[in-house]
Amino acid sequence: MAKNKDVKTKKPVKNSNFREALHRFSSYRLALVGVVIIFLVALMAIFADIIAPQGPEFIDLEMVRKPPGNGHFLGTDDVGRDVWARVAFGARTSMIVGIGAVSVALSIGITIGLISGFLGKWADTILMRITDGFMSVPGLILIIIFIALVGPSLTSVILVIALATWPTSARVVRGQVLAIREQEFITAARVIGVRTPAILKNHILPNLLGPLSVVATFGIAGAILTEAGLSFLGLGVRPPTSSWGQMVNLAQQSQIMLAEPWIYVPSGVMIVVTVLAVNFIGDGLRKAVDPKSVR
Amino acid sequence: MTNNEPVLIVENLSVHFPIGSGLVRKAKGYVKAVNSVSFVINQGETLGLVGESGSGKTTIGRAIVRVNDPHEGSILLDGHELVGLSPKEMRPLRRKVQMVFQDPYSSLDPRQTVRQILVEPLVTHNLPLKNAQGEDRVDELLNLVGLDPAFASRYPHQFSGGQRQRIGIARALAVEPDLIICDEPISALDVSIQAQVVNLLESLKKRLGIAYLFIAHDLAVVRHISDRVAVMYLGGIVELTSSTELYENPRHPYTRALLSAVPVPDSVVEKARKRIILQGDIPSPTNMPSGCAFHTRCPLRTMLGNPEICSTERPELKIYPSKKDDHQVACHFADESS
Repeated sequence: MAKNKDVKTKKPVKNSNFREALHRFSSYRLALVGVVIIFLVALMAIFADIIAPQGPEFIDLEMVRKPPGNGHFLGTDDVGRDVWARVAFGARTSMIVGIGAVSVALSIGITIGLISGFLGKWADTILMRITDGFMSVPGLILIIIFIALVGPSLTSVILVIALATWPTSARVVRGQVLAIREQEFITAARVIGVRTPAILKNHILPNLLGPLSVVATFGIAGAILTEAGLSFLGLGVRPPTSSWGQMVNLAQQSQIMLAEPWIYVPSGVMIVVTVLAVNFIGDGLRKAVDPKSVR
Repeated sequence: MTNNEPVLIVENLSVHFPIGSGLVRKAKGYVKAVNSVSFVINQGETLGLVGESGSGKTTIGRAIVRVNDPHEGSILLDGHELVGLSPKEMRPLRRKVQMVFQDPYSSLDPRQTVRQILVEPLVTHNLPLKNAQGEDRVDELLNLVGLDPAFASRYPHQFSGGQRQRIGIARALAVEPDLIICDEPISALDVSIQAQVVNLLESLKKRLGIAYLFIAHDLAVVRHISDRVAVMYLGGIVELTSSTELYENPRHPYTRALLSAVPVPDSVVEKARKRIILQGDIPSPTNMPSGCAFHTRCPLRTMLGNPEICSTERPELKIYPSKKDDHQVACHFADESS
């Protein structure tokens, strides 16, 4: 720990805590690979209109189930849509679901966790029992019931994934808050007279960022996977909006499964690669945030 | 230096913590951390508070800043009663009393820069960020505690323990309090750094006329910095007098034992020194001994043939006439001891 190695020098050192964390992150090579892959997938999602100008919904009836070539870089699917375009726009769906679901889950989780951990006593008991209740219901069943009630759509997929995953973040937040609020700097803030909302905002939340970033990353991977799974089952994003899971769903037809792999392999590979990459980033973040963790 | 206007009057303060109470469970018992303690701190005066671990000294300090809630008693700060105030009513009074903490590592938020740490009390109390001369208050505070104002943009982990403690002191000074509770501010520091921090506290006292409640277990340091010293045992004050009087003429058998444990930096004197070794451990504050809290270990009681009053009646702090100063002792046989 280089605690005060250059205290004598006039020039202030920028937050070197952050630098050390960055160093630990980048010393885990797979995390860097993950960052590169996610960067590329994100570019694909953002610039889908440019890299696949014909769009994912354009049907070319002359070109049904055609293998790669003939102006269709990855071939066409069973109704004559360009596979490359559908993969590119599927990346957009996955990103929106991943980030959207995690944002909603984290908002709920942070709120519940903060109240539970900081207020303690009966608020903690009640909120944590509710959280336990949610955790005790199998996620997939919760999701399927919810989808059956509100009907499948992008929004409902995001909401339902958030509904199934917020208890994890609430637990993490609560645990961290319990540890942080016992630190003396919280007592110091109380002695100064800082109001509770300001203590939460200025002291508790900033000290939560590290562990939260890890939870968020793994949450994104989980959300992408769940969306793919739901779309595969036909409970996710509705066609014609494209989704990787939906494209893999086509492999249920034996002719496509056996003879026309270009229709489902690219999206299957994208699911695997993206989820792996996000998980690698999560591992790297965990190493960066907690130097003591060995895994 | 000191005049006789009291900053703080503590009367019959008790702090009890419930054991095992929950949402539906009732408390099984209470840890009686502090039992009807009374003392006064005058303006610009340093009152040392010594005692072994678990004697309740930190709890007193925390009760004054209302981090721990007093069970009963009264705390008058500049004439304002603090016991029973809501956090909202307490807030303006926090400008008058601040605290310096024991652990300079956990008492500063690792995510805040020094500037953010020092601005927080100013913003909380709507104080100007510039002083009358137009100087930045953060710079002024850092200069006051002997740190380079250029350090303001750094984070706590970039400082040594002594420097961090200076930041903690600067934070306490930001609201210009009349009283600072120093909760073992030097116990976590190296001996060489301890002297620097003690000297800083002393010079601040001279310049700003602040009063301190100086909580510590290092008797030598307490003697050096304190005007008066209170000795605590098991949640109660057993002896309270000026620091010279206490160290030259201790009257309570516990104080004598405590002082006899201080090593002397002279090998001849040190060898000849007679130590009073107390038998047994400090009793549990959940199950206080009857009568005098110290009677289970008191060498004086044994010497006097175990008088009954020690185990039946709790001795009050009484003033004993002395050559120099008032000398308060809580012992039925304070006269015998000298």
